[in-house]
Amino acid sequence: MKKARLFKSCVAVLAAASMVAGCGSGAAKDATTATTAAGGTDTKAEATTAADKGEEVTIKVMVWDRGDAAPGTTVENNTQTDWIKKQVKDKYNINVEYVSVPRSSSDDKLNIMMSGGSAPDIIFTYNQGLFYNFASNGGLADLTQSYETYGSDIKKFVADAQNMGQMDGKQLAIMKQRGVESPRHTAYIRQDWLDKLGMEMPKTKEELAAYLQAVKDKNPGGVDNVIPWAMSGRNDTEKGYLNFVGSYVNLANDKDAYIYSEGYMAVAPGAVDGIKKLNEFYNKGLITKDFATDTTEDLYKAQVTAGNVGFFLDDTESPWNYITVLNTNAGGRTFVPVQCFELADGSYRTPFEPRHGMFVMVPKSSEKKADACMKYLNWMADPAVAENIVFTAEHKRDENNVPIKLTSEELSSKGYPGTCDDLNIVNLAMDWTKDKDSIVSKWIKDQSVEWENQEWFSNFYDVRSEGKFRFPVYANISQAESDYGQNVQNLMLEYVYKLISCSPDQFDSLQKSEYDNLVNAGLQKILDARAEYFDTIK
Amino acid sequence: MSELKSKADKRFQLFWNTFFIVISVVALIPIIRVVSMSLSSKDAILGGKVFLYPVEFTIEAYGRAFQSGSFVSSFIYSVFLMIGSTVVCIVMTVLAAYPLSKKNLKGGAVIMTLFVLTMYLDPGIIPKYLNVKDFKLIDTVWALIIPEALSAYNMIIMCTAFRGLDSSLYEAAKIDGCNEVQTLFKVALPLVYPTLATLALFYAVGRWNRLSDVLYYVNSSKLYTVQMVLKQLIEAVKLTQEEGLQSQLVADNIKSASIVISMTPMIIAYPFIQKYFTKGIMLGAVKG
Repeated sequence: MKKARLFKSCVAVLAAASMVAGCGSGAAKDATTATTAAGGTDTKAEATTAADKGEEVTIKVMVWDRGDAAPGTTVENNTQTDWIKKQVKDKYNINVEYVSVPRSSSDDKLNIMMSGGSAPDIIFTYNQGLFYNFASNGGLADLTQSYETYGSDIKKFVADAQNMGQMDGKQLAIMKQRGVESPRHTAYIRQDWLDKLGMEMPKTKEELAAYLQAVKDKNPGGVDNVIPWAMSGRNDTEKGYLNFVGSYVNLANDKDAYIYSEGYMAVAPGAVDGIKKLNEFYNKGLITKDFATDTTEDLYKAQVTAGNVGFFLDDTESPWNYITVLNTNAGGRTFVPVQCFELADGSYRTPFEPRHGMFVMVPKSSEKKADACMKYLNWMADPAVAENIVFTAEHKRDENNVPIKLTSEELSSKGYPGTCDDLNIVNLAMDWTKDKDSIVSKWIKDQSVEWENQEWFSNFYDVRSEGKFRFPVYANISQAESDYGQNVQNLMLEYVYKLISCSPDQFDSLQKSEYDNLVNAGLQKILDARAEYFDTIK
Repeated sequence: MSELKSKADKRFQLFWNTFFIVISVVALIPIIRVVSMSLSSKDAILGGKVFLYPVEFTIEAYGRAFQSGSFVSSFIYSVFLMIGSTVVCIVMTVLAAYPLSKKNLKGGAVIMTLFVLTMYLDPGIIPKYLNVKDFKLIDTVWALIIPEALSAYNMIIMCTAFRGLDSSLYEAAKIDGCNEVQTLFKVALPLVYPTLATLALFYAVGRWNRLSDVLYYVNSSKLYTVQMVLKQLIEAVKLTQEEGLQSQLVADNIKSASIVISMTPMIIAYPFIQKYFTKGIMLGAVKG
């Protein structure tokens, strides 16, 4: 054990050395950014009155560890946390200590720390179920009063997401606001294949079906194993079919929209027609054969990147990884985004992510420090501060006013963690995230290799925003949903996959029996509870 | 190996040889695949081209894995932790097993039953966490050593090994004037070293691979073991989707390289200790 201790002290010495080095180079280089980026905070700091400062308090703040701290530093102690600590200390006389929680098991760890009464003073999760659980068991401090007193910037900049943190009229969590508005899923189609086939960009599902059939019959790419519509069997997301099936559903009012929010669209009235259509595609050989066995989507990714695929529906931006490889190999443009899932009235409905991101909470055991925690959160709700946290205080902006991220080498050599974003827990909606030109310009600059141009990204922005739609959201989770929700979600995926890949003559009987399964597993109870909740709040 | 004469014997041998070759291949393929992936370019992996041999050969991934600060330091730390923890475990196991192997120990059966009970009754994670917390071990390296310092199963194996020693050896030691401590260190332990080596390996591998206690009991990232860092690397992609964050994802080849590096100590250690395995098991049998 002596050796272990010796080793640890070596690490500590190294850490100290690299921090000194990091500070030196950082301060010398970036005199210019201080005026542009940090300008907003500086004036504010002067305006801070003595009353704000208050007594010295120490708060412990959770921070995610993704294993990407710079050599010799940790996620709790690095150049960026030092900067934050100094700002908060100068402004509010609050000492900030960070407690690292591994990102990949964050919710489990949080649960254990809460049960053991050793959670930090500020904790957070994306999981609504976990928040609801803590809140309904009285595990969270009531932030209503602190929010009123010290939450002025939160109100000013991120107010529209805050209703998700309320339960029974109490503010139990501060909601982190998301940045760039983004749809859940986006469909992509091969532009070069459309051109070869002499077809127009499909605008309806019928035109899509014609394109898929043409791809199968004529094989415009001349590939060995052509797949008109590639799907995977991922068992944790409905991304592969939800937008398509959803376009068969008529959401008459907000109540319907709430009841069938997101995942439940697959069992909404009319959805069966959409699944039946997919079944028809499958049996015509237009959808990846045996896709349901590809649960890790390895085959799916391989087919898309190999250029065997004519169309797919996926997350919005993650397919760029595959398209990059494909474009580089094909030497030109291949996939473009497409919106062709028209509703009955010809319009589109593209479900967008809700505005709220994480639930930021203060445990009941830290109730006394709620004010200090609120000051800390309020401080970083200011977009100028948030920008300095995400992009570091020494970042610059480009001609479109988009902050430029330091490269990973720069971050590492200056002692910044690889994901500074994790320290910014209140406001992602910085100015540039509201402007199309800035967003497009950022996308272009973020490319690892240049695989598409300005026009493509600009078009991408327009296509994916067509028919923007948000499901209504509330903090409540019914008893039925917390009991059966996860299981039913999994079963619904199975339900859809089974129905897509069964033979057409079995479709109706299988649909009935599988739907009964869902009902037995608690689906009806969940839907009823959602309807009931909606009625109580109206 | 004695010569096998009859047809039936040959068929028997052919069957089992084939059987074990198949089993080994099944076990080897995933390892070979990971090694190949670590030596391939990330585009080739994404394109699904890599299966059993590297495509677009490059060792860049190893360079990148070593550059990442936390991986190297956690690796070195994990090695020290593994060695330290194994020493503690072995001492605890021997000190418990030796007295319990004596037939004349008063209440020995009761104590043994209590040990065995821990194998059946697991308190669950939250009581364990509270226990560790009450001992003020949270966020210390001891939380990774003490709670698992003794495995009842390994202790029973050790105990059986001591019982397997001929009682006349103990009598001889006693007559020569050894007290119990001397008997243990000078007579018993040297005779059960194969078991000792085997158990040390069990403990070492267990510590090296164990993840849950690091996850629960430790908060400071400098106390993360290499498995913990690996877990973070591998799960990075899924999480950024939830966050709507398109930051630098960890490429598949770097993940694979990290996995290969973390397997290495075990792969190196096994051949050296494996020779004791058979001896360790034989020890319970009749001695010639």
